[in-house]
Amino acid sequence: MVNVPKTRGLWSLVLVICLTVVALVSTRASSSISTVVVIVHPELTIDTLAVEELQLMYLGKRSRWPDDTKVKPGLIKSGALHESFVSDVLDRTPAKFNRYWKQLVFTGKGVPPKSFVSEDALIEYVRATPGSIGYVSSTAHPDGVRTIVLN
Amino acid sequence: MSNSIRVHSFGWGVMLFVLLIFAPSSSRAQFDDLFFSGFVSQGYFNSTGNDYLISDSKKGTSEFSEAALVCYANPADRLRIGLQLFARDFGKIGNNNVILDWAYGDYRWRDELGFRAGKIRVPYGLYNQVRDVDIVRDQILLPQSIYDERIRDFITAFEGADLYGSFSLGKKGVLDYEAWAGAFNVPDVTRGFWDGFWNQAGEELAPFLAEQNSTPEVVVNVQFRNVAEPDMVFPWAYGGSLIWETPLEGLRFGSSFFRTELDGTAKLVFDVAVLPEDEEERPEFFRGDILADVDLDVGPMVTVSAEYMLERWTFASEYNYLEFDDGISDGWYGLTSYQLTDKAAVSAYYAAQYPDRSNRDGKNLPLPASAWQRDLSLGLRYDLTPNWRVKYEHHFVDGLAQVDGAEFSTVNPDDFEERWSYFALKTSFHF
Repeated sequence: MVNVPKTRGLWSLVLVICLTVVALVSTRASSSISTVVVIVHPELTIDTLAVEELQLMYLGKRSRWPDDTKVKPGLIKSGALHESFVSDVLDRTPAKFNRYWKQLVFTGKGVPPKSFVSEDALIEYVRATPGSIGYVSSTAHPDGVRTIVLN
Repeated sequence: MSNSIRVHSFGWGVMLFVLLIFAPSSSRAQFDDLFFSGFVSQGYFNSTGNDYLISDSKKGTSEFSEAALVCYANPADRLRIGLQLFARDFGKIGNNNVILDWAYGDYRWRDELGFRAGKIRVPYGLYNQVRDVDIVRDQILLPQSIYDERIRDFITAFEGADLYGSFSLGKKGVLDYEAWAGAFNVPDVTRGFWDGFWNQAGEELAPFLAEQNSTPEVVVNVQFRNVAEPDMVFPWAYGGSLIWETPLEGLRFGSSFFRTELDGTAKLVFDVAVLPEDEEERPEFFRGDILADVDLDVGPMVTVSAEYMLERWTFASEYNYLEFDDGISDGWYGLTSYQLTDKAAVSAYYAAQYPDRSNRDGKNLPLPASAWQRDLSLGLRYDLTPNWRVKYEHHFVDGLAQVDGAEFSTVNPDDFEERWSYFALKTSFHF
């Protein structure tokens, strides 16, 4: 039998706060997003987008473009490009990103972004769907979509 | 009454579900975004020393299963409708009866302001809304000091409406809020927590009745027998929550509260023996009942929370307290988990719960250990496939605060073990 010590409450809350401070002062490697290019439906009249705004869109917290069109994000189901986008742009591991959306799904708070089996399928979705947003590799130059710059 | 509510809710859910699936083709064309998801889990639960959460758990039981099916549709631009059908078997609780776990319409006017109406998950703590979603955490049981499984059936959702939204704070992160009002529905007032609630009242009333009715000439023995015709409602409830997602990725803080009122009635049935001092007089034996009436203010229950997901690590801690008419209970926990590989994780938490925070040592209680429960949990999770996982966890427990029956004034200390343990094994599938 393990001897469970008596402890006053909240010590672990203090621990989390301490860890936070340590992490805040630590230098974290900056993310590279050069391998991924973000694309949107051609009717959207934007050329740049803040990374924070993009993250909110893929987390379901930003649902409208400035012209009030509904944001419709798209994903590739798996693979290096998907992992690069989620890790480098959304700043999450794919596992944590999936878990986040499972939490929303099973509490009625939202449906995850549509996912596609290939880069071409995602491009086709963005080309055909008003308000949509997706991503391609930096070597791709798809027609019929608008490329935007993240800042 | 409780059964009719359950059946009514279930029928409502099925009706909505059928309408979504078999709507006329002209209507169905609007449901391009119809979305389904679900999960099934099966576990084994075994305790030593005391029966806990599931009746007869000392013998080991596989009556430890859950299943859920979620459906969404977007019938209009800003409107989403969703529902979850849910069934669980938790010993005497659930028995795989399908219930409408949540179901509501959600009109999102702006990201900063949305409106929901229906049966909605209660936003208390970080995890109440996802407490039965096994696939989003590494543990089998959430810390029982905050997320007591015995009251899961009525604490997870309210029937009413809420306002919600999300404010971007720019470089300072994101602030999410919810404010809600409605009522809690008690799906079954005869089992689980409520069974113990009324039994405790009966057990504690029996010696009082005996003392009150005894005289120098007549000794009256009163023994509590059973509860009949219980009814329990929470006619109103309200609450809110704030969660601040800080600019440091993975770190969030939360605070939530709610208040409610508990109104209940039940017949407490007693066996009574009237024993005259004069041996020539014949003793009398009869059965009688008393109509018990409970009117209890519950709350506020306040919870403060912190969570930090750092690379492979997760840290979380929460504290809450709950005010009753006659006291304040509180509890807290500290949790950590570490992702060993893409498929495996280990986790541990330490949780403590006190039914009366002004008496943490159990002074003057028939069974002092019923004043606390401290639980050290060690667990392992492994994903066999992306949609199939298994978990195991072992708990080392000190105290009896959440062990049914340990708080009775008539308790026999020999029936309980102050230091005890339990383990759980569970597998889950989801899509």
